[in-house]
Formats: sequence, C-alpha cells, structure tokens
Amino acid sequence: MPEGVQRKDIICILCPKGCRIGVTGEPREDGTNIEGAECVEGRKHAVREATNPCRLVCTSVEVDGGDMPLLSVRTAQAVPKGKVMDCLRELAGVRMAAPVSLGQIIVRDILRTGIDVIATREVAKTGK
Amino acid sequence: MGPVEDRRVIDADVVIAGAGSVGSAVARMVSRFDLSAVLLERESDVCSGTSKSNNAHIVCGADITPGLIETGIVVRSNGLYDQVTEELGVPYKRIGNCYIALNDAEIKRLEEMRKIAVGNGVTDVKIIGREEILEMEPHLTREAKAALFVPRDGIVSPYTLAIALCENAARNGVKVLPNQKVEEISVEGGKVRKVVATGVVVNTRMVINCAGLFADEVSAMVGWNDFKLHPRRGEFFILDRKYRYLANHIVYPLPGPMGRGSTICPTIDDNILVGPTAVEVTDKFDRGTTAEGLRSVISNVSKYYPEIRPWMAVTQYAGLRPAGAPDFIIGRKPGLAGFINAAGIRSTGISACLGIAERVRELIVEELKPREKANWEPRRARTVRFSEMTPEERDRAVAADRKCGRVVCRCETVTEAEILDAIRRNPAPRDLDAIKRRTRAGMGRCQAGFCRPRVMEILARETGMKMTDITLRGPGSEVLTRPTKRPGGKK
Amino acid sequence: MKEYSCDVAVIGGGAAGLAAAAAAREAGAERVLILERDRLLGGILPQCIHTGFGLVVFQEDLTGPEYIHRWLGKAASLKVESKLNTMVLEVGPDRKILAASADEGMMALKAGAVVLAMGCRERTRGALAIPGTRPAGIFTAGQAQRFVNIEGWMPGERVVILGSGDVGMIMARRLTFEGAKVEAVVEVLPYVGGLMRNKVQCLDDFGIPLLLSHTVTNIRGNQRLTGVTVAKVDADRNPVAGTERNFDCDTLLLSVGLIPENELTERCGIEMDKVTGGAALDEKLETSVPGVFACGNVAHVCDIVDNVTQMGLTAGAEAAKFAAGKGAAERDYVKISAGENVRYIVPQRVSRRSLLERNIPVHLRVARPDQNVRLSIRAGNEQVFKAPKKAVHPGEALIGELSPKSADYFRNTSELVVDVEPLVKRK
Repeated sequence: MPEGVQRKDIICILCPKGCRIGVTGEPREDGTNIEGAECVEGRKHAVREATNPCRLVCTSVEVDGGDMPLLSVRTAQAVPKGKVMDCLRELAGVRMAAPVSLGQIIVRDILRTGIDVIATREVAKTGK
Repeated sequence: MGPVEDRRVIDADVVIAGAGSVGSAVARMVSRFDLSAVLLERESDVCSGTSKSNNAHIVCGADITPGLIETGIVVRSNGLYDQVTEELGVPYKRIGNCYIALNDAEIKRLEEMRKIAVGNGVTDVKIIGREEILEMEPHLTREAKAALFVPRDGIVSPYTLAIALCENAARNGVKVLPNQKVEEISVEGGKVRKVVATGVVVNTRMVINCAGLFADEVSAMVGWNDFKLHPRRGEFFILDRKYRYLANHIVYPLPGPMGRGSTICPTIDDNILVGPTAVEVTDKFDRGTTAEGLRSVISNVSKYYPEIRPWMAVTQYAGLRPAGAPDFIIGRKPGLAGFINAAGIRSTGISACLGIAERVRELIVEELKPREKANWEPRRARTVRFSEMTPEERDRAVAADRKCGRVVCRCETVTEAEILDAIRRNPAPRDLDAIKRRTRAGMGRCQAGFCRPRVMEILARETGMKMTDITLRGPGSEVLTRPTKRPGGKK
Repeated sequence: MKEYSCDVAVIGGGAAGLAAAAAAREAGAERVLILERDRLLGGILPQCIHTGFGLVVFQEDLTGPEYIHRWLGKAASLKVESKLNTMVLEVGPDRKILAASADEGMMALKAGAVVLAMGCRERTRGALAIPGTRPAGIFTAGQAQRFVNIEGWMPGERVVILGSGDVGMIMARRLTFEGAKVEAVVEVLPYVGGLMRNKVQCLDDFGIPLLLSHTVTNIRGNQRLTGVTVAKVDADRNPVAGTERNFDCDTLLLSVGLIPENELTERCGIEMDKVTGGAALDEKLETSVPGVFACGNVAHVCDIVDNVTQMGLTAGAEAAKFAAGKGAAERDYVKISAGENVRYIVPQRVSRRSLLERNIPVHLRVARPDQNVRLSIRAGNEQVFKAPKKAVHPGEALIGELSPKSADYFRNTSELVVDVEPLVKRK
C-alpha cells in the first residue's frame, strides 16, 4: 500500500451479518479498493461511510408553557458526523415556547449544513 | 456538621438513642408518662438499620438458650404481641414454625429442643412425624423425617411495626428526629446532663441506649465500655409473590453454632424470604450482599426446598445484626444516674422489643418515678391498602378522594392517595425508601421501574423539594444529578 | 361502581393498542375503548426520541413520537374512545374487566372482545441477583430514558451500562449527548444484543467500549454508586476469577431484558408460553380464552415497532369479528414447534381452516447467531416454506410464511416444525 493512503474500516449496518468492509483511499468505481463487502448495498454503504459519514441527530430542547417540559427534535436529514456534537451544543441553548406543532422548524439551517432541526411532536399550550 | 454552638438546643426529660424496633417500642412506652421525650435516629428514617433487614420471624421463645435475660424477655414480649399489634393496627400472624430433621441424629435433637422449649415456658410445641410434616409442607424435601412444630411463632412486617410504634409515640408527644447521630453524652457529678447529636443538643436527665449495632459506641460515651459489638451479616432473597405457595409455615433447619441457619419464611405481605447466612464482618457499614453469601443461601435452602431458584427473587438484601454480647444488656450502671442500656440485642430484637420496653419501663419508674398520662392514646388506626379493599370499598374511597383511584405503583397496586397519606404522617418520610416502607411502592417485581418518577413527582409537589434533592435514603443518595440541559452540575 | 359495555376493549394505549383499536373500528366494531394507565396515550414511544420506527409500515425512518403521532391521529379520526389514568385490575374469562380510574372510580366493563396490549417491563438487578450494595444510581435503561427524555433529568454523570440490547445502546448515545461520560457497555454474551446499526452509531461513533463476554459482578457505594466490578465470563456465563476490573462510576444502567407484562393474563387463567413469556396464540392472535386476543410486546418482545403494529392490526380486526359474533370457534389446530436454532415462534398454533384458506405469517427468533442458513418450515418431511438467510441474530426476529399452496401437506399434518439450519451441513 502506498504510504499515506488511509484504510477505513467500516462495519456495515444493513443486515445482521455486520460485514467488516475496508475502504482504502478514495472509492473507485470498479470497487477494487473495497474489500469485505458481500453485497452491492453493503459496498454502497461503505463508500458513503468512508467518504462522507452522516448521522441523524435526535435530542430534546426545553419548552415553556406547554403540557410537557421537553420537546423532542431531530435534524430533518443526516448531518456530517463531525458536526454532531456541535449541533448538540447549539441546541442545548434553545428554548421554545408552547404551542409547538409537529414538523415545526426549531432551528433553520443548523451550523450552515443546509439542514433544519424540526419538532418531532406537538406540545400544547397550558398557560401555566 | 457545624460547631456545637450552632446547633439547636432543646430540653427533654428523656432521650432515646436509636429508632429501630427496640427504640421505637421504648419511645411508645415512655410516651405513656408525663415526660418530655426525644427519639434520635442517625439515619434519614426510623427503622433503617438491623430492624428493617432481617427475616421478620417473631419467635415465641422456644429455641433460646435457657436462663438468659433474653429468654425471659422474649417470652414476655411474645405475650404482648397480639394486643400491641392490634392496638397499633399492624398486621401480625402466628403461622407457626417447623424445625426439620433430615436424619436420625437430628431426630434425637428434636427431643432435646422440645425439652428446652417447654423449660422456657413454650409448652405447646410438638414433635411431628414425616407424614404430617410433608402434608403441612407439600414442597418440603421428601428427605424430611420429622419436625418440631412451634405453633405460636409468627410473622410481622418489622418496619411497619417500628413505624407504627413511632407514629403512636409521636402522637403521644414524643419528638422523633431523624438525621441525628448521637455524638456525645455529657455526664457531670455522676448524672447524665446533655446529649450532643448531629444538629441538636438536648439537655436531658435520662438517656436510653437503643442504638443497635452502635450501642457499644453510645455506651462508651458514658464510660460503660465492657462490651464490644461487631456486625454479623445475613443475606436474603425476597421471592416474588407468585411463589408464596412454596411454604405454609416458617421452616428452619436445626440450629447450628452460628444461630438458626438459612430458612424459608413467608412474609405478612405474601412474599417469601429466603436466608440468612451468618458471616462475621468488621465494618458496621458493610451493607452489601456477596456472591458467596447469595450462593450459600440458595444451596442451604434448596436442601429443604429443592424448587427454589435465584430467578424467583425480586431482590436481595443484607442485614447486619449486632453480635459480640453473650446476652441482652438491659440495665443501669452503679454510680451513673440517667443512663439505661438496652444493648447487646442480637437476632431476637423484633421479637423481644415489646418485652425490652417493659423491662426498661421498670427501670425508668424506679429512677424517675414519673406520673402516667391521663390521656395516653394507645391506638393507631390500621392503614387500609387499596390493594386489600373490596371493589365497593374502593368505589367509596375514590368517590371521597379522586387520588384513591390513581394507581402509582402497579406491581403492588398503590395509589396516589396512599403516597400522600404516608408523606403527611409524623414522623414524616422524606425519601423514597421511607415512602416505600410505608406504602410498598417500589417493592414489587419491577422494583420501582414504573413508580419511581411518579412517586418523586408527588413528593416534590407535596413538600416543595427539588427533584434533584430527592434521595433514596438520606443525604448522599440523591437519585438525579441535574437537569438535562445544564452540564457542569448546576441544579 | 360505574358499569360500561363496549364491543372491543383494548388494554394499553401504546403502539399495539392504538393499532388494534384502529383496526377494530375499521373492521366495523361500534364502540372501541382503550384503557390506559398513564395520563397520555402512546405507550413507550413518546420517550423513544431516536429514529428507527416505521421503516416497514410507512417506509420512512421516523422517531418514536413521530410514529405514534400518526397512530394517535388515526385512532382519533376513527373515533376510538379512551380512558386515561385507568388501571385495569382484572380481566375475567367472561371478558368482564375491572379497572380503577382517578376520574371515575371503580369501573366494571363488559366487552364483546378484549385485546391485551400491555407491553412489557424491564428486568431488574434483583432478578439477576448482582451482589453488592443497593445505592442510588442504579436504573433500568428505559427508566433512565423516561427521566432524560420526558422529564428532563440526568440520572448521573459517569455511566456503565450492563447489557447491549438496543435500549442500552441508545441510552449510551443519549447520555453522551447530554454531557455524561459513558465508560463502557458490558455484555454477558459473546455477541452484541441489539442491532449492528446501534452498535456502530451509539458506541463506535463515541469510542464507547463494548466488553463482550463480560458481566458486572459487584456493585459498590452505600448512599450513591461509586463503582462496579466487571469480570470476563466463561462459556457457561460464570465469572472467571482473576479477570476482575474496577470501573469508577456513579450510574449503572441495566438493559438486561424485557419481560412481557402478563399478570392480568395469568390471573385470567389464559394458557401461557413459558419461552415467549406471553400467551399461547393462534393465527388470529386469540388466546386460549375465546374473545381475548394479545398483540405487541405483551405477546412476545418485538424488535421493531412495525411488527408490534402489524400484530395490533391483526388482533384488532379479529377482535371486531369476534365481537360481531363472526368469530369462528376453531377446534382443529396444527401445532407449530421450534426446531433447530429456533427459540420461539408466534403463533404457537394455527387452525387448519386458515392454513387452507390464506397466507399466514410466522414470527420467530433464533437462539444463536449464525450465517448462511436456511429458514425452513416442514410438515412432517415435506418442506412448506424455505428462505435462505445470509445472517441471523437473536436480536432480529425472522418472518416465515405459510401458504395454501401447501394445502396437501397441511391437510394431514398435526405439527409444523420450524428450523433455522445451515445451508451446508456442518461436520
């Protein structure tokens, strides 16, 4: 292997086999630098994970005046894995006011990922 | 805790140190007199020591070594049990106890044991044969050959008893102060003058030492230090109610050198207790169970009940009983006024507590010659549980109070009304174990998995406590650390 | 005592109950009533704020609250009734239900049919008899999840998790998200308990070590937890002396198994399956008591909520049929038995009539992980279903299917055996 070329080891999550797939360097179209995958879907997953791993972030934010003290939220799509903890820090300071509707945008374009954070539940106003 | 000068100062004729079953019984007895009294308990609730972690077997005195002070007191105490539990509304049942003989040598010992029982005044014991014992106990090993049956041995919930004794004492004027560890007792001119505890100083003229495992340390505070107590650990399994059918009576092997041995003991609430072991330890705070201890409980008991399995249990616990004194130490020291020991109580504390209180009464009367209260109230209403009510009773209860219909602990069917009732008692429970002992919320098979957040919410709402201040059993055992959005520990 | 009657009573308003209630209404039942002990419907879903729900039913990857929102909406639009803060105390074999309600007092409810949808509870430390002290700081994973996601409280700051089931792994990530340090996930088996997806995205992503073939052997701390001892275990799951390690921590989460909550079921005298922990069922999800059905986690612990929903839909529709007097009383059943590497199967029996008339799904769980195997169902020596599987795992239930195409074999057989056998015979 040429010096400086990284091999990334991915555990595939698509089926219980959990194949250990190694991706060396930039994925090639002919798949020659991908080893250990036993199916096409697995290979595709490994390429995604090796080049730009993304994760959905699900957490909660505080909400005032509602029938619940917390609002569960999620990123509308997966964000780059490296930005996950920063997203959480950003969201820890967010405070909503009831009422909140399902799908309501809580934070638009979080950390300039182009991805919104949305409410995953309703919170009714109780006037307390 | 803070310097002595900052502590609250109160006056009381009598200070009782320790609110286990002995201290609680003594407190109730003291409350009959025109004496101001304070009951000090080092833990966050009454009955938090040996008295809550035992097998709840109320012995009538059949198997105690003859001639001990303990013997006479246990027999006397047993005679009082029916009346006192009825007065206090505490469920109590004489379900009987069988010592099982597995071979000829053991059968011979049964006759000796019978003679000892009769000598102790327990004349209704009888030796029963194989057929009869197997009929009485269908799940007992078929190896059983004979048994000694003690019909008047019984069961009670030990913490229910202690709590009832304390509530009745409080109702009759005793101040019950938890979180108060006795640190110093001042003696001047051969008389007790003052007790210094964690947050309070009590000017007093009589201290009654009921401090259980720590009774030697309290006694040493007045220079009476000719006995030393060390803990003897006993480990137990509590079996799920669905296995109640396994035993109809308390069942024991024949006693050995370390005491009675591992037993199977139905509880008044229809669980089954299995245990204990008997292991000497040195640390009075070594409250955990051990792998070897739990294993040996199962292996000992399965000799008698082969069906017993560890997975039948809802939980396990260990209790430390005070060992080291060859007999009860109940009395005064010559030249020292105002101090009575009720110490060296070993494995018969709950059985003997009523008798111990009577003996202490004699000593108090001798020394203080107090007047009896005209309006002493001996009775305490029995707490009727939702789980024990008929549908019609439940209906009436909910009609009077909605909260009687909101079930908070689903395993034991405990309602919000019962939780609130417990919180509003005196002495007031302020942590989850204290509420658990009064209501059974958290004692079921899910072990508070469902009810914990709900009980905490009720306690917080009712007392104004913060959720993060609510503990399992006093300072240091807070359940929650902080709100989720505030890392760094700020509450 | 208030007396009610309804066509279909559903005990439990979680995913299973909501689906059953909706299906019962759609199948024509007039009065469908959910009895729910909590103050809100939704069951466990509102606290499952992560995704993984609805992949099958909606072909979307939803969070728990989003998933259950759809079923709450469906139930509401179908005019399913519900009583909250209502704890069912008894279900009689005559389908008479006794319940306690904070609002209405004691209730007696006569139901045309009953659907049991009570879900499950978590296994406790006491059930495992882990030695040591009993300090504050020990939670089951679901209990901790409720505190964190519904009430907004942290159970602790430095965490060890026993059990690598999905709930445990999800909580490892959740607590990390909220600023706690998760020291390790400890698993007694030699393989991870839940989905690989969770192992990667909840543990590997955060560098949380997974200790396979290990268990907690001691708990320390008098008032609050101060640490646990973790040891390796041998093939019989016994701790190996000398392998003990100490972990300082203030929190221990237990994710050591779910137990279907069948106290009501057993008290009713319904026949149980010891392995699933739930009632023994037929293809209609009917129990041994006519007119009483069971679905969701109370029948057997399901991995994904989609399976819970599917069971609920079946049970609800059949319950409606029964309540309308259209439930056929079956007498001719074929037993379904667990064969090689199969831990359990639901349903436990199928009526021969249904076998000859329609497709019947069979849910099963393997006992051990394996690769390159075939799921196979046989009537005697005749194979009536087969499907190759690249990999199987106890944490992911499999589905087989019985089809009337095999009618000839079904007619004469008294038992169907389900195997998960190697594709290539091993020596």
